[in-house]
Amino acid sequence: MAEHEPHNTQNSRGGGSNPYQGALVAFSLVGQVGLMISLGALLGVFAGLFVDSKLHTTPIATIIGLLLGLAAGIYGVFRLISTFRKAG
Amino acid sequence: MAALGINVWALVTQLIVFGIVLAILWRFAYPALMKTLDQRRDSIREGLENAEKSRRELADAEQRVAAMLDEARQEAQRTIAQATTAAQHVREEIEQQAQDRARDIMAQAERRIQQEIAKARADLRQQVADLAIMAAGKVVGASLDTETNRRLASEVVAQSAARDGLS
Amino acid sequence: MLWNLPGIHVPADPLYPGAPPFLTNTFLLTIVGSILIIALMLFVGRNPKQVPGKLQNLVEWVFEQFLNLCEQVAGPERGRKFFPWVLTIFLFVLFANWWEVIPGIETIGFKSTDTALSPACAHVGSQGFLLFGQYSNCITPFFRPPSTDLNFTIALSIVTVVMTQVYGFVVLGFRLQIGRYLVFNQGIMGFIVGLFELLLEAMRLISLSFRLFGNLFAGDVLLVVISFISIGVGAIPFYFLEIFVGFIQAFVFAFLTLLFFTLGTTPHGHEAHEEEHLAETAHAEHERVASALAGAKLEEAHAQ
Repeated sequence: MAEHEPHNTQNSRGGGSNPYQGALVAFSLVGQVGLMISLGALLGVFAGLFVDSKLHTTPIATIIGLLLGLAAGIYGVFRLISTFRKAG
Repeated sequence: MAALGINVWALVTQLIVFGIVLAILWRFAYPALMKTLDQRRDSIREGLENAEKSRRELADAEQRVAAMLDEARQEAQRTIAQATTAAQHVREEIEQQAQDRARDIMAQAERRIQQEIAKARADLRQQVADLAIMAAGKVVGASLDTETNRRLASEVVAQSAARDGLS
Repeated sequence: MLWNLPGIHVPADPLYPGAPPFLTNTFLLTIVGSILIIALMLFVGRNPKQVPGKLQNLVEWVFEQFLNLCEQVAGPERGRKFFPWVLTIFLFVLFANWWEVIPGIETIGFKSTDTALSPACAHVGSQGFLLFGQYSNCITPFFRPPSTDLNFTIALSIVTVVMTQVYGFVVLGFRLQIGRYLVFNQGIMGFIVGLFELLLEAMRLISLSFRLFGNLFAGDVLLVVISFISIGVGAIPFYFLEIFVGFIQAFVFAFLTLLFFTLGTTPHGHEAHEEEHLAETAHAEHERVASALAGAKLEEAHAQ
């Protein structure tokens, strides 16, 4: 196993040797997850509004922007969690 | 941007300050701390290993002691058993000897008694023969006391003794 | 009214009227904090005692906790590489945050004649050096916690995001790192995911900087307002809360930095490649066995 994945030699990833550290890690992740999704949506909406104001296509670009932004946020969350997913 | 107070100058100076702090800590503080920490980790691991080793050794020694005690106990038991059987043997031997000796003594005593009896009988026979000759001499005269007569008298006495069951 | 609500505004104030744009009251505390950090770490790091004192114990404990965290999240090798960044960011942010609860921060400063604070401030020049009543908020503070200044938080976020890129290029190489953002060989979905990755970097920058700024600025305002409402006494529990928040936010910033570094140096779609590789080896093995079997049969036929 260790030969295939030199970066993943320890199986207790991010769990932390002491429980407070684990709690802090969990807190950081939860905060970041929420922020990622809302920030993604927000950026998407702003981009959409800007495009709409230029092309006079309200509200098509805004809606697309919102959806794309949300998707990006969720993708970001997925990427964030993927480090810890392997440990199971 | 101005409402949020973001300006490039402030940004860059903050970056520079952070860079300086990072460089100084990285160069001068972290290696020393890392060394201390690694040393401590090593010594802790060593201590654990030592403790494990001495624990194993203690268990070993205890096992050895137990084995030795066991051995000694068995040895003692064997010795006691040997001693008991030896004593038994000795006793039997002594008994045997005593019995033998007793038998010998009895046999000797019997032989002596027989000898005494035989001797007494022979004496008695002699005396009876003498008496008989003396008596016969008294009765017949003094000429009777010859060799032939003495022999004759003895034969008579012997015959009578045999008849009376004295022999 | 005993005193006025102090002025609340987002941008940091210049240290003195007409100061260069970087010389703000938050910058001053950044410098002081940096000197404190360096002094502390050098003092503890350079004279390790065999039997550590309380201070050395604390510093070494924090040091060890972060080293463990780095090694667990990024693996022993990369963990040690990332560790100086993570710990320095933690200390830097922690010291920046905790200024918030030191008395005198934001209450000592130059008199300000800015009438936006209070109409009376125009005449503050006639007051002594202690300001009361309607003049009480006519102040430009000398000190303000650095993390309540966006310049500080954005600078640190830039450090994180840029270093993620640097480590990405160093560890993965140019091709893999660029291939993370510009994906042309996996159809339209692959291309969009690549763009998402690019967008993520921006989102990380914004989320890191604004979370720290938001938490600390809000905490600062909270303390000021509660002190104002309750004449100081009611704010005491909130001081403890802010100590806690300051610590948490410093940890969050450092931990996310570590996480971004780790993600940035892990090849994209690594697990998928791994499976592919396994499948390939399995296939090759299968063929090798099959050909060996065929060879054996051939030999058998010859023997007969």
